[in-house]
Amino acid sequence: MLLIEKAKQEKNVLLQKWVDKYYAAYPLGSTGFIRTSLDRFKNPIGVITQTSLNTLYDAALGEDIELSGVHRALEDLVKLRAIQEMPASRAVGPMAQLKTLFKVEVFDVLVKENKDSKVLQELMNDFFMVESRIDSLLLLSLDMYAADREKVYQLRVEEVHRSQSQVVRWAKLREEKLTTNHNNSEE
Amino acid sequence: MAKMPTSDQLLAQTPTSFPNKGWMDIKAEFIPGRFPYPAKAETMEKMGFTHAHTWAPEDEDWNLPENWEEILYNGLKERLEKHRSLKVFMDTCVRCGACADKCHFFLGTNDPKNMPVLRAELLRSIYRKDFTLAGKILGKFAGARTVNKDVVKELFSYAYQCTECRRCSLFCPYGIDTAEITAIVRELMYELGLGINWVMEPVSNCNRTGNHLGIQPHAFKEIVEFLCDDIETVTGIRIDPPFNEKGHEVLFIAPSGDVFADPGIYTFMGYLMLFHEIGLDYTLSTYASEGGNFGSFVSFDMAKKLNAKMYHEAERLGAKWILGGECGHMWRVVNQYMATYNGPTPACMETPVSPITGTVFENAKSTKMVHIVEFTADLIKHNKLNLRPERNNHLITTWHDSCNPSRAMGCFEEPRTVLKAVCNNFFEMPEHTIREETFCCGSGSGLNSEEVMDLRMRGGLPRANAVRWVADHNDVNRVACMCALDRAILPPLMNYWVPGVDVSGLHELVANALVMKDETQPRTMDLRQEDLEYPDPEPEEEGGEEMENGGEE
Repeated sequence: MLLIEKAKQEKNVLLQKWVDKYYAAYPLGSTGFIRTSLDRFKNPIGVITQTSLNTLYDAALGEDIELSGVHRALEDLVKLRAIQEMPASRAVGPMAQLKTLFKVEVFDVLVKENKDSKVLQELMNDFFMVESRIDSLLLLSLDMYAADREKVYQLRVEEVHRSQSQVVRWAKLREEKLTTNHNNSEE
Repeated sequence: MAKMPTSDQLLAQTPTSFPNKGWMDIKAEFIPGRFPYPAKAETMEKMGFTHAHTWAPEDEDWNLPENWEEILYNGLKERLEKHRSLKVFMDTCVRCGACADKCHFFLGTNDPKNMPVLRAELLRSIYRKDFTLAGKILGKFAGARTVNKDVVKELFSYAYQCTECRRCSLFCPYGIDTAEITAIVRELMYELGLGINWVMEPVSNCNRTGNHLGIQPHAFKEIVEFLCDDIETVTGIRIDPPFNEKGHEVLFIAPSGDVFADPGIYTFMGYLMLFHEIGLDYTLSTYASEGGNFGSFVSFDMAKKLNAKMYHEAERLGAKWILGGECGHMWRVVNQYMATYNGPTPACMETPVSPITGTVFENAKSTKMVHIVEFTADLIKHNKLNLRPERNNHLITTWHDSCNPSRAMGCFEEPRTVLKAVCNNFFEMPEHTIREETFCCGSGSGLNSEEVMDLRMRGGLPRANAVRWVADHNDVNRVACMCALDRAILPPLMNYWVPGVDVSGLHELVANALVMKDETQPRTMDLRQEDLEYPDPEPEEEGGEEMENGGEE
């Protein structure tokens, strides 16, 4: 549990570094803005990113949390990234970078501090567990990203239908009338 | 041979928009989903654009006319002379940044060039170079730049990442209207033959048949009759609205989206039911069959041309005043430009007076046009409608202030008066996202084409984010609005960001609640023909057990 405890203690610093990995996708001129404004209505991208990652950080550590909340946080985050002109790897990839952060900032530090083989074994086990949870989040992100992209295309099709619904209704009725008239005249 | 990169290395290699150059040196990108498709040369030619040509935004060469620099220079010069406001807007910005984080496109994209200040600077830099002494002498040091083909592309790209909603101008200490700057840039693009299909097709259709889809009079009439069939199914009442009839007091003009598109049609059914109930002396027109004006997304001249039919038809039919449907940009044009575009009004027209309440609409003295939401709010204020809001109890509503009738026209209280009278469940979205500060739907001003759905989802994020708040906290499941474009735009936006929230026009909800004198059967379904959660009691039960009222405000 040493690894989890340290990761919890270091949460503020590590979370900010992780958030920055997500912000790296945005233009330099506006990253300052998304970092500083904390009003969810004045800075939706920044606040959604920070709020979601806050929940996902705890999820990665294996904290007891509402799974529906984790799902929602992930969904919000991926939905945001899915429509922002990034390659898929950039959209969901920073999830994987949490592993590096844990490795460098937590695991390596603890390994240096502890020589006991039992403790080291425990650290390894904990790290693998955290890694595996991050993998799960990444896999779920992948599903969500694909679903979100599919949704955008679906919205495009639905909109075409909606925008002329009555004209189509009119055309269909005309066609029916013509067919009926044609059949009647043949009889 | 090489080693497979780690995830950090891989992401470091992925292209990002992390520029290490100044904004003037960064070229506009044309990524699918960001730019609208170009207008057909043939369509533009027919509408009188001399430099119409075939081109594609993603191509390197846009086939600009040979003398494109001269056209652009003369176009800007002419407009600076014509519009004093433009000259002032070009000169006065102090780059305080108050507008920067007010734009929904900036909030949704985080692209610095979507800050209104920088979007305007794209044109200002050209203005400085050609029309100011400092710019001519000092060039880049004075914020000036020489125009080249990449600058043209940049102007096009960002003029079509602005919905002319004017939220930014509300916060500008100098009152600079970035929407007007965008409108001028679009005009200049059209001069160069660069138009967009989603705007130009409706303009051409409107010019030919009077409405955006190009529906001819007989089809228009038949489609309205379908809606009357649906009204009969729901209420048992047959309505036969007059078309093109002379001698009626009122000419009613709605955005054609309400006749052709879901869910606007329910709003149109609502208009017809209301008029029938109050016995309004009105006529519809198959010539003035469109209140919307996509010409206003092209140029002032085109807006004027397309808007003229309203007064022509009022004069031909001898109407005293015009009642207008729930539209957005139609009211921007009517409220702000119509008097100068197409005025003075025909001699037959008078200051509108409600025939039911006697209210004189002094605010419409100049244009002789009344917004139907004002008209209905007045009816409700005078207690002229028999309403049963419980019929809307399955809906938990919020109100989206559509930019044009609200921010540009000041219509804030009227729709809320109506909505609260017809729905028991209403919750406001958070402060700073409504009324004057309302967030745009993200796709107005001709940006509601399907090919820019990605851009629309980004631009609409701030609006959807506020709806999400009331959906999460108050279980809101219906956004009501008074703009036909909103009724087209908000459904996909909600579907993506806040699934489960649907969209209605105000008069759909009015008609749901409206207890009509001729109604012979208890209402069991709403206008969408979905079962009512609280159906009307059978006649013998009337006055018996009180209906449950689950609403609160």
